[in-house]
Amino acid sequence: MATARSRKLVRTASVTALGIAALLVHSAPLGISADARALPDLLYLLLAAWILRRPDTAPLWLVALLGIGADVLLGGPMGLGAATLLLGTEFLRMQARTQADRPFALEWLMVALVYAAMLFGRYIALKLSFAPVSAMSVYLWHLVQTALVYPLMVLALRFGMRLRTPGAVGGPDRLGRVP
Amino acid sequence: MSSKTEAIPGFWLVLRRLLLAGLCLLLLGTFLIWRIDSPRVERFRMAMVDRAVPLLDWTLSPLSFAAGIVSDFQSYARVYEQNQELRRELQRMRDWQEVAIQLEQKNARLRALNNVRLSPRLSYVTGEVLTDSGSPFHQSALINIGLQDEISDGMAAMDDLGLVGRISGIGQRSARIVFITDINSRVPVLVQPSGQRGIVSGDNSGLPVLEFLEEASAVQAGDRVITSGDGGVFPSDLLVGQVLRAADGRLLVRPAADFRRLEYLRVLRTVEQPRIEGPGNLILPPSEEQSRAGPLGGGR
Repeated sequence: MATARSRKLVRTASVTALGIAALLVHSAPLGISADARALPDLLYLLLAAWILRRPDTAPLWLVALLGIGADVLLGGPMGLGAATLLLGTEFLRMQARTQADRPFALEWLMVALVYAAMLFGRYIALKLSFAPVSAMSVYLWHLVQTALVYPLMVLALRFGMRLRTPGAVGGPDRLGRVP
Repeated sequence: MSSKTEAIPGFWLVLRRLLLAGLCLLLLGTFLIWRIDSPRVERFRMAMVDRAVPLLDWTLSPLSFAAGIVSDFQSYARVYEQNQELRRELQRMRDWQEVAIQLEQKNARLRALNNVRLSPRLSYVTGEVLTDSGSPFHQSALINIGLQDEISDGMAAMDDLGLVGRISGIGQRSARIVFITDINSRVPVLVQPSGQRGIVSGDNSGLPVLEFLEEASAVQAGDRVITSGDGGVFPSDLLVGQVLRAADGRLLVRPAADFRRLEYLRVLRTVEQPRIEGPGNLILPPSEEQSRAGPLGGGR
């Protein structure tokens, strides 16, 4: 019991550290020019991959804190990014239950569609509040870029952090039962 | 499975839903407040960023160092080309140096004739770029100078050549610079040599748009764009860039500032100039002048 709890704590700590690292990578002054290729949304990719596999170790408050951190640090509309991130990851959290039965292609499609919905939500919110909005093409390009990087993120987490779907390959399942 | 054990998860589930709804409302409320009263929210944001600055300082320097090595290596690969380019540039610069020296001497002579004393209208303080926005939707950067360096909101930031942006949000030790390429940026400008006034508005691309010209046909590609000082946010005569004409006929501006190599930024401390709004205070009406002179005259 104690080891399970401590393992869970370690996982939560590591997703926190990775989230902060994603924010720092985003904010590092690497591509300042507007023409430079912007990074895909690493924070969303990390949280999406993590929550689909280990929803219990990336709790709601952590997602909210990281989202607010991103909004504060990276500039842009305050609160909007965090709110859409929270809703998007909550939807994925509901899907985590059936993660073990889902082929990867379907998971990939789902993560991309959720991100599209998040971006669309941001776009609509900015439009409704009469804020100046980037062209649709910028949003589409960002979506494509982020979706393309998702398999890499999953692979990196799988081999770097041993993040797997519980119950997928003979391990303990969602309720901790060993088959 | 008794009803007791199921009641607890159900209760937590409801609580969790409430928490989620509350958080979302809170965040969307923040967004609304940001839209309505953004200076206050920006102040709050900068207060939070101020706390994080020491952390940013020592975590980001290795990252930028590594990126620097990569780009240095890339430039190392084409060192011969660069060498040739630099030689040509040096040749050209020698001409300019000669011209500059002559002008400087002439200027010194004229100034000596005139015994003029120039008031230092602009001084500046240089800061290092800490972070950039890292997102395609907004173009901004954090720099490591703030209120303690006697800079304030709205001041212009330049690299060594051209206008980069202005301060929007400032803390004790850090400030956020919104670039002229950001979608929220509008800069009143003057196009030389035709003297047309217009607005350079950013659109999150590398080339902001030149709009609201009185007579767009008078402006040609290659014209210099400088700030006009209208509206009082930017000081006048700062170089913004050069006019380009896009394939669809729109006028764009290629910024003179090199956004690819933005490491240090100069923030211009502008001294508030007395503004002359109307003739009222220059020549007083006679009745007032007499009434002011009255007590003085009585004293004599």
